[in-house]
Amino acid sequence: MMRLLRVEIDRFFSRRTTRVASLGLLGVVVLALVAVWQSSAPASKEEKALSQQYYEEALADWEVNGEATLADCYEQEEAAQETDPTATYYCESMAPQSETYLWPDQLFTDQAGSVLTGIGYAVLLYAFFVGVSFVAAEFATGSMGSWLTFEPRRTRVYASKLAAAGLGVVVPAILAAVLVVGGAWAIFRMWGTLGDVTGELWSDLAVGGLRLTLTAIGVAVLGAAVAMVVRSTAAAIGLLLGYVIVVEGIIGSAVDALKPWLLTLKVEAVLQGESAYWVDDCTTDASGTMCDTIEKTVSLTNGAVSLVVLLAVVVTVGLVTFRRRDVG
Amino acid sequence: MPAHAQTTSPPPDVDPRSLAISTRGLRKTYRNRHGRHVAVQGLDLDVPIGGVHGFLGPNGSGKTTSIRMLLGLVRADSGTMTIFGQEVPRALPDIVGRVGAIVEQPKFFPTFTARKNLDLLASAIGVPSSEVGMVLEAVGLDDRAGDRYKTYSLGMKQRLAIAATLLKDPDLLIFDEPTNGLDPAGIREIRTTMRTLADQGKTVLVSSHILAEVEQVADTVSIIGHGRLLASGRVEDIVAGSATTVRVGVRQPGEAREILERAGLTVRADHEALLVDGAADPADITQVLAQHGQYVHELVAIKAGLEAVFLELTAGEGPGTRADESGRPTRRSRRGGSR
Repeated sequence: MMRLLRVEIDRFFSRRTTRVASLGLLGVVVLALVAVWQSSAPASKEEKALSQQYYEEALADWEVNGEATLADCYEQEEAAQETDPTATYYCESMAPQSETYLWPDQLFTDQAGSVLTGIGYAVLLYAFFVGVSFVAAEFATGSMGSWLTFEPRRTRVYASKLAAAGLGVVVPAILAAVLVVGGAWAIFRMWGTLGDVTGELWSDLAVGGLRLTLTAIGVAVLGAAVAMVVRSTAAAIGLLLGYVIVVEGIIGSAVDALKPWLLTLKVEAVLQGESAYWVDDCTTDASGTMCDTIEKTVSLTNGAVSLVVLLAVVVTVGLVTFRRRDVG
Repeated sequence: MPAHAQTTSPPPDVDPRSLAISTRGLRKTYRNRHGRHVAVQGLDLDVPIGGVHGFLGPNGSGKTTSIRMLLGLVRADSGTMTIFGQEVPRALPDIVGRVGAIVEQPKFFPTFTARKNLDLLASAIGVPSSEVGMVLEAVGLDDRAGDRYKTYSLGMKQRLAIAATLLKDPDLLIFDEPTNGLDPAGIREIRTTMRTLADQGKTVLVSSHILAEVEQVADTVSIIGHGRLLASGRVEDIVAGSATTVRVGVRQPGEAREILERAGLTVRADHEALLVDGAADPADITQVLAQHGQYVHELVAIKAGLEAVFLELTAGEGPGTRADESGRPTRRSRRGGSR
């Protein structure tokens, strides 16, 4: 079994598709860092002076006209509350606020988590693609049949291919996470906006990176198992896209009851530690139907268990299919 | 019906351990949009140890499916199979090291070099990588070993596939249609390779529908049609047992034909002459005609070759033949004897 696994890992990294996809992932990392660079650049002295000037002008105007503006706002709010008692125009927040004009600098301590999550989705897409392609190519080229004439024990063959796909994405996933977080750290350090970087932050990022890597392993294995069933890279990618668009996108956004089960939320929960979704809580009385939007969360445990169950089901289906199906 | 005296069913008392391959009642049915298609129905096949055994049949007669079942690539619906006396597919892991196979076209990873493809296979079965160079040299590909597989010609691909089978130093080699698409030089090369391997004591099973190539190299053959054995045995026995056609030249072929048919012989026109089947001895034809005042000016016995036997046995058989629910072909095949 270990011999087969070594051979499969060798094949995984020798594939041109793996190398091209890895370069693509590196490209995404670079783009992510360019985006971080652009969004994190602190305002220049000139921009800050201009913003201060606009703020002071607005404050001066408010001192002259603020009272009348407020009175007008409260009057309109009262009129609106005659038909809708809950209506609010937030009049008290109309006065110019300094933070509206003078944006605070973004800090690495605030942004590092979202930067890691952002690259996480790219890593998972990469893992799915290379996992699918790794197995589907064998059916496309017909080499699966040749392979089985050398090793006819299909369970071993199946296990070695899935394990190789999973292990194969470990290094790319870790590298992507380290590059994007390290790159972001360097950018924020250059701007002088690191913030209070503590050991706890690095620990959180390391745990986040570990969760990302484990998820990438699972997704690569999932992709390889799906390919065992559909035997085509295009079909597997199409299946994923169709599912995401139809089930997660269209049906998921329309049916509140489905939201806790959406795969994208489970993945987000695992990558971020928790994910949130919103559902309408409606009550109907004589005056009509009133709806409140309630925030609900998917916990890390919920997300992780759901993904593990999904993976177990797909891997089992893949194994049964591969063991029973005729190979051309 | 050919006159050779073989039987279609091999003797039931054959010890499978004395055979390289043995199948009994092997059956495989495929389902597709058009219904069920019986690819192999009750195939009884015996391949002796040593020598080249031709596995003949028209396209779609079940050759490749039978080979795939033997190699565990396709699941048989029913029947038993043994390779060197061991029941397959159950015992395949134990004997796979003794079996090398090329099923239809060689299939490797197209973007890997020939050496890389063989290195992977060698590693998978624990063969030292030094063996890779040796088998590449043995098939004459050592100069191109660093080239990508997709740049290879069909002949080179076939040679690479043979090299892959040699990695295991197998006792049994199975070649499925190995000369498809090859030029005459490539066909000759493959034929020579098969003969050489057989002369080294290995058993070579070669499936083909090209009779000439098999007749030149095979020691024994099995002919199948509709997934069933039609004939089996040594090539010379099968050919010797077949009917002899006699070409007869007479001045009045119309009258002569009536005379011969009244005598119970089968007669076909062949330009100005007649082709006569069913005569035990060509002299009988001259005697019958002479008795009716017809004198022969040409009398040539045409000995049937393997191709003639094959065509006679598989007449009406071809690809895509449908089967009814019982698995019987909708057109009856002509059954020849074997063994």
